[in-house]
This record gives sequence, structure tokens and C-alpha cells, in this order.
Amino acid sequence: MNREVVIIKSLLIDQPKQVKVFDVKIPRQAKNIIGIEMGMRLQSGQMPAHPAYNIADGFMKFYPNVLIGELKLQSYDRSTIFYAQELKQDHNFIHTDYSSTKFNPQPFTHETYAHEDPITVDAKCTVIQGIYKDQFKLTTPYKYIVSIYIWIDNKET
Amino acid sequence: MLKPIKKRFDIRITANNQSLTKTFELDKNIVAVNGLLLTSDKDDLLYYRGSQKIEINGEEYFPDQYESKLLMSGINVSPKQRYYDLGGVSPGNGSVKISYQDTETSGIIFTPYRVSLYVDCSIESNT
Repeated sequence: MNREVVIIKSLLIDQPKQVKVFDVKIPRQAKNIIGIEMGMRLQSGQMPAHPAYNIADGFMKFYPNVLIGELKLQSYDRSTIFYAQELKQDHNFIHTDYSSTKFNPQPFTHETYAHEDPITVDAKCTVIQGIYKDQFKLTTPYKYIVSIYIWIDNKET
Repeated sequence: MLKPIKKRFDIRITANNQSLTKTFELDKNIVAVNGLLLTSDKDDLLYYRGSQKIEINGEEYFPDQYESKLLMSGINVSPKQRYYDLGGVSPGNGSVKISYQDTETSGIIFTPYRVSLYVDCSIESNT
């Protein structure tokens, strides 16, 4: 049996400022929750454009990232709220290549590691509760799916 | 002595919202699977539209809806570290099964594209 497995929870967000409360069932053979990742896929609407790399900006010009939403996860066990993270669109990856005056960096060309956030939470409690709050400030209507990846470590069998 | 070897398996996505399952065979002399990597001839489509399930020897390592972007590496990652580390799992019967799902996404227009699954393996070698 695999020692590490991932559970995926997907949420559809179709209204501004929407709040979703959800439960995730953790299998009985789980020993620990060891990591959390998040991703999103826009179904309608348009993401804000990434800033283009401009050599005139100087050595370091930072751009504000776009906040999409906030996630909190809590266990019914003693650990209570064990994870809180913002889902963001990174607008500063353009600094990853200073030579790119002609080849404009994109997330899919200059992505660095996509590792999960490591955590260690006892998985004795077989249900965890989550809350996701939409914070996307788009003026046009939008709809997207948030995927929450919960990595667990199984007991040895 | 163990020798590192990379295998590449391709699937072709030809229709919008296509779902495709394909099973590939690893060579019989492969003794461990160390890592996985996804790339494409159209990286933006794979990054924004792709998700997949991956099984090795019938064991699921990534479930349905696991986004492809989480298994991609940009050019900022050094070549030796681009693979998702599986920690040297046994190839068993050598079957690698990928169930790929293309999903329509706002702002990314579909054109046919190739998805390449790279598998980092170790083989037994006497040389």
C-alpha cells in the first residue's frame, strides 16, 4: 500500500465574496496529515494580466499579487485550526529571469517548485473541516474551481 | 550497479474536454521508479487545462483531478531536480497508466497538443 496519498477536495466558487464550509473525510488508515496544496481553475471570467517584464523598471520592482481567496482548515481534535493560507496569483515571477527582455516569462515557463506546504497533524480525527472565503476583486462576473490537496501518510500495513 | 535512465511516454489530446487513458510498459530490467515529470509541446495548455490520474503497477500515486501544473517544472529548476520524487518505488509488472483529462478553462483556447510523461528509473547494469 502507498504510504503517502493525496485527497482532493474541489469547490465551485461562482459568486463574489462567497464562503464555503466543507468537511473532508480522512481515511481510517491515515496516520498523519503531512501537507496541503491549493490550485484553481477559472471557468468563466478573465484573470488579471501578468505584468510584462520591463527593463526600465530597474533591478527590483515588486508588483502586488492578486488575492483570490483564503482557506482555513481545522481538526475536531486538539490541533483545532492547523492551516491558514491565501490563494494568490503570483505577479512577481518575472524577476526569476533578469535576462528576459524578449522572452517574457510566464508561470508555465518559469515555475519553480510546486511542493505542498508541509504540516504534521495527527489524523486520529477522521474528519477535518474547512472554510474557504472568496476575495477575488474582479469587476466582471467569474466562476472558478478551487482544488485543495490534502496529503496524508498512511499507517504501515 | 544501478544506472539512471529516463523513459518518455506521449499522449496526444485532439479534442476539447477530451479524456484519454493509456497504459505504457516499462522495460523489464527496470528495478525502481524514482520520479515523474509532465511536459507538453504547448505548456500553457497543459498548465491551465490538464489534470490526470497516474498509476504504477496498479497503485494509484496521483488521483483523478490532480492538476498537471503540480507535476511540471519550469526552466528555473535545475535539470537534475525537475522530477517529482517518488522515492524509488518498485515497478512491479512495469505498467504505467495515465488517465488524462483536458478541461475547458476561461482564456485558454484549445488547440491539439501533446502531453509527455517522463519517468525517471533505475536499471540493473553490469557495466
